[in-house]
Amino acid sequence: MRLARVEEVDRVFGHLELEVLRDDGEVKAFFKVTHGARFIELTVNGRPYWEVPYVASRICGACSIAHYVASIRAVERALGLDAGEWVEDFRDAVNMVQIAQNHLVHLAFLALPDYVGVQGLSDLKSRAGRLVVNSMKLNTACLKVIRLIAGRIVNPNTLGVGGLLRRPFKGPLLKAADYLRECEALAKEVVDEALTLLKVPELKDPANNCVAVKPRKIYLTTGDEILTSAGLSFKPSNYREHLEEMQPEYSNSKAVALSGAPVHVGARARYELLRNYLRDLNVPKIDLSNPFSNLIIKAVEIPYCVTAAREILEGLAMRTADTGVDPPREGGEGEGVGVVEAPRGLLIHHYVVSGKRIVNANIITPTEINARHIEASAKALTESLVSDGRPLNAGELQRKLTMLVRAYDPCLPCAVHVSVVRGRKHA
Amino acid sequence: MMVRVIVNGKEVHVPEGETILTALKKAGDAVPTLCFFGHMYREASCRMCLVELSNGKLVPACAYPVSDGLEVRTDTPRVREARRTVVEFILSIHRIRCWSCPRKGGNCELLKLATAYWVEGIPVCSSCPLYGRDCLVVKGEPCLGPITLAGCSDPCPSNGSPCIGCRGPVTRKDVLEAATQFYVSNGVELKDVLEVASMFWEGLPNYDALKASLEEAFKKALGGGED
Repeated sequence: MRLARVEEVDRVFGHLELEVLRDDGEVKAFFKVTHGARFIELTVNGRPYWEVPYVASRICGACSIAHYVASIRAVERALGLDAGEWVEDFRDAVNMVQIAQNHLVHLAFLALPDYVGVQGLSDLKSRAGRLVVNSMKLNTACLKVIRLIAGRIVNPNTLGVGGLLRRPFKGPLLKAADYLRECEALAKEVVDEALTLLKVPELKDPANNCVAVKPRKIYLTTGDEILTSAGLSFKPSNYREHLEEMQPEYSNSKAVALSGAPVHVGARARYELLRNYLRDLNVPKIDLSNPFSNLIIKAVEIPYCVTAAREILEGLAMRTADTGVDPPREGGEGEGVGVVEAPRGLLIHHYVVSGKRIVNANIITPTEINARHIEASAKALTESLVSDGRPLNAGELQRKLTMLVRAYDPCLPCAVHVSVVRGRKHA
Repeated sequence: MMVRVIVNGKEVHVPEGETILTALKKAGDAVPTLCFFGHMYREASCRMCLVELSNGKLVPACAYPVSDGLEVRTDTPRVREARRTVVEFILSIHRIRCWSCPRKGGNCELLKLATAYWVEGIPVCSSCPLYGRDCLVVKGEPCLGPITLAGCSDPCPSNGSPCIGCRGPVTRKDVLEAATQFYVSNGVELKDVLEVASMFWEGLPNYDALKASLEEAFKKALGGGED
């Protein structure tokens, strides 16, 4: 028996259907990605390795920088290149600004209308006008900073394999830092107001497994180790031993499990695993085993990212870059995995390079990893709202389910970068 | 004597004997002009400043004299369609050699008009700020600027990385031939150009035709070089 079906989940990136069934007394949830398949991994195959970031960043318009950085790191690991500390710091700063902007759009424009009790952004403006206007200002400022230091708002073009394609001058770096300093007060104001409106529903996470990238320096910087909530830590190159990919028949996207169990990534996972790397993140008292608390951590990460990116950029302006501008073009043989904390969580890019060309590619996006966890949470949520095999209130169940999906902030265009064609798996 | 002119429903007063363009300027409604240079030249030859009168006639604003009670509209579907045709005509006889044009790098009026009225044909070089020996093609890199449609405000070459053609190809044959000559004279090879081009263009329905015309143009340019 069908308990609930959300035919088109609105206010998420891409197309998604959610269905909860009751089969032999057991509740089953299905996270069906209906977004059309895109063959990014096939497109990358056979291309020169320095073109990989150009193609890979086109996976997602919202978090293109995360894909850019992950693909560059993967190719660098495959070829044994080292970009140097200056460049790594620069990439972290750009990624942080992107995370702040992404969180802001998700929080203020996509998720918050649920908690205020309105239909969408235009209604939200009449209830929390100041918040909406400030969020738009902050969004514009973040995009301005990205354009200034990374060259373009989406698919940036100053980052490249092995270094930078154009070294940013001291002036723009300091100017970007100034913009961010002006944003700090605004970010605090937006987040404080948003937190007063966010009254998250109660829900107990059925499978509180999570993974996140161990940072090189402070919270949200990139690194070369993955931590899990079971206390394990493994190298990104061993990811296949721990994370299993599978292709559900009903979905256009793959799904991932950690040692057979659903696993979640994102702001909540980061906070749970990487709290020690934080200096000052003012998190209100929350129950971390509630999937909805992801939104609160997202909110408090916004001012953190703005401040941290500003400090990194100021530091960079005072140091000289330690790599050349021209990316190396010699090529080589090797296999490399790059991981990065994208706005929605752990992102894995894996490439095999032979000569100057990519011969094999595999990409795992945060939404794929979250897919099974969303199903598990949706099941738990439905069970709490069902009695005697019938929903207490069908409309309420449907509303809560869409709120739950939005709390994970799925990005479906990212998730459907590969699919099964004629029964054969292209990966 | 001042006469009354109604521009897009707004009333302005201009001296008798002046043109509609003066009234438009007074009303603050700009129309694009190309051949108009004040009193030096007023032949109304480019027809870019066409406006619609209340009787449905399309007239060039820079040459049509005002009369009392004249009603002018500057932004109707007919005007836009006419201007689009004008841009198409101008571009069809324009020798597109943007990589060697002194107006490249943000000064190209035609590019602005072509972007505003959705006319294709101008390559990325028109907005690229790299001149002379800074040009990536001159340096020998397979930059797709000369054969990619303009309109992206050129973020890649201005940041030092070659154009990768993400906005799609220019399909005009004369532009392809001229661009090929530019490539050949700087030692850029066909296979390098096609390799970059295949990244975003391989799935296009007209990719095979485009590839064939590029191959033909390279053959022609290389043959011409040997004579």
